[in-house]
Amino acid sequence: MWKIFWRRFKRNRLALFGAVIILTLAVTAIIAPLIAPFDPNQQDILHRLEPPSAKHFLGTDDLGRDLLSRIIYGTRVSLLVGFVAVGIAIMIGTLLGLFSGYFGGRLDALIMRLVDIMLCFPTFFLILMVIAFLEPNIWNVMVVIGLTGWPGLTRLVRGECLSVREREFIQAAKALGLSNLRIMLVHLLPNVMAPILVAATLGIGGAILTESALSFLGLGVQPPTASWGNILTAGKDYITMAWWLSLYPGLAILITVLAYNLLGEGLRDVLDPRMMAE
Amino acid sequence: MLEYIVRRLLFMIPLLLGITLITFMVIQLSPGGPADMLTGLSPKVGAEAKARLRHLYGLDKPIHIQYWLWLKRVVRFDFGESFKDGRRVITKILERLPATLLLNILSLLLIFFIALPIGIVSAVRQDSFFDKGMTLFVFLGFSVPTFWLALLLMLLFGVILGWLPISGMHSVNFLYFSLWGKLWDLIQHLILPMFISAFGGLAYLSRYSRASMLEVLRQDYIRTSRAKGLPEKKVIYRHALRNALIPIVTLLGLSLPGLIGGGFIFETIFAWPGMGRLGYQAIMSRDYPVIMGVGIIAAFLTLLGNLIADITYAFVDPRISYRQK
Repeated sequence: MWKIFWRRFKRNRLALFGAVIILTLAVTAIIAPLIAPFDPNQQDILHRLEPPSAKHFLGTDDLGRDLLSRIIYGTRVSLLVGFVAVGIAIMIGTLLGLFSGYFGGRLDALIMRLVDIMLCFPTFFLILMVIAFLEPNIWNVMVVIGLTGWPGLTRLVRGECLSVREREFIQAAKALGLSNLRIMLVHLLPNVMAPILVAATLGIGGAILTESALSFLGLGVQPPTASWGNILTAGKDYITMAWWLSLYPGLAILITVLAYNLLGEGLRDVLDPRMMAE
Repeated sequence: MLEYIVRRLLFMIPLLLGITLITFMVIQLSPGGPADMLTGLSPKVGAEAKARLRHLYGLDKPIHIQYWLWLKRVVRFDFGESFKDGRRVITKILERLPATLLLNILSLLLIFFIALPIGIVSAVRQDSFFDKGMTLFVFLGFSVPTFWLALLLMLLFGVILGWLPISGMHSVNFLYFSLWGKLWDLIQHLILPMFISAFGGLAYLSRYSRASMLEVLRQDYIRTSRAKGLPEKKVIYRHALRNALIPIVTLLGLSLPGLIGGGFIFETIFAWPGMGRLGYQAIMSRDYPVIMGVGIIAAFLTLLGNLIADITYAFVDPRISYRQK
């Protein structure tokens, strides 16, 4: 079955494009120390705010640090936040969704009520509120983004569970007397995986956007650690003098998120059960 | 129909309770708790002064009593006084709310009038150049960080071209303008924030209306009307459109809270005097009463938006009222 997916996947050019970009970014993040021309935190005040040149490919920031190196290291931050935040959201969301969809009844009602409440808050504002009360650092950011992301996933998983629950193989498993937990994890879960995967991919893009917005506002990753968002903060302050500080980090964000979105949409087309009729 | 509304309203009550509960818990998260918030963690405040402060504000009572007392005040919209200037929080919020609402409603209208036609035309001419182009545009719209776009547009229109003002709601000499002058000034200040605000929603809504329209076009009754020999225009405008509109309209209702929430990013960038900006400034200056107040009002407006969306849906979709009978 996975072979079918792979074949279809290869046909969807946009999704492939997205996947290639993501792989490139991942590799960049891992080998960052090897490819960055300068130390991202090395200040050189004599050469601050220099436009792109042969020496500093993308220019320097307000403290003379090389922009290209900072953007390369920023890849690490963004990818880390994306994966961890979405990872948290998936774990909580899938678990609650499975329980909610499988057992139904009062547990379902309770969990759904909780989901509704969480969804009432404007997500971003909730994140801001919580971070205002705790201190802004990368770990809090990841956890909070994850904690605001699970409600949507729970609804999704629950919906899928409700439809899969009635299929024969689940009934058979129950008749065989398998424990509920086993049925949920071994039989139910693999069949609801598809939309989870799609949501996760799209979610990583969203998490990266959120993290960069938070860092931009000064409530995310703190300098001197380089994050695309907090480079843009300096970009805003020096917008009339150093356009490169505003352009390039934003471009990096754009490309990354676009790649994840393309991959996510591609996955959605590939894993769509309606197309199984082929 | 009426009972549907009443039922929805009743549903809202536990949700509201939940909101207040979560907000209350968030307050407790602050290091040192509310008492230290009030004294600003200043080491100069002695231990007994703090103890007296706690007693004064009832912070030494058990936590569920604290919650109850707080809840009673919140219901009356009494959020206390701001830490920064001592004015009542609710006053400050009400001052800023019209500005935010103005921006959001106008953005919503903009989104509606642009995204809808785009989506519909995309669906009607599926896979055409227009459709593919729009899809690309939509993808970009999803992926672009709005604050970055705001910066770029500010750079382009405000700094380089100098066409539009880049901050605030009024110019400095606003009061000297004639009525028309005032209106024009307001419009000029509105254009950039409105556009940025609408951008994200545009992408989403046009995608959604396209999907909805496609779904409708596949239906049998469309095929019937074509078989009947109706001109294509009538098929689309009279039959398909109306049915495709139903889910779109509800989506609009749901978008309003989204705008309110995301509003403060561009409110901050453009120095637009709205509620979002108030919230952001409060967060930066650790003005907790204001943060709580804005948070609850925002959640409340979200609920309201959902309610309006649901009622509109029930209103517009005849199938729902059938079920009530």
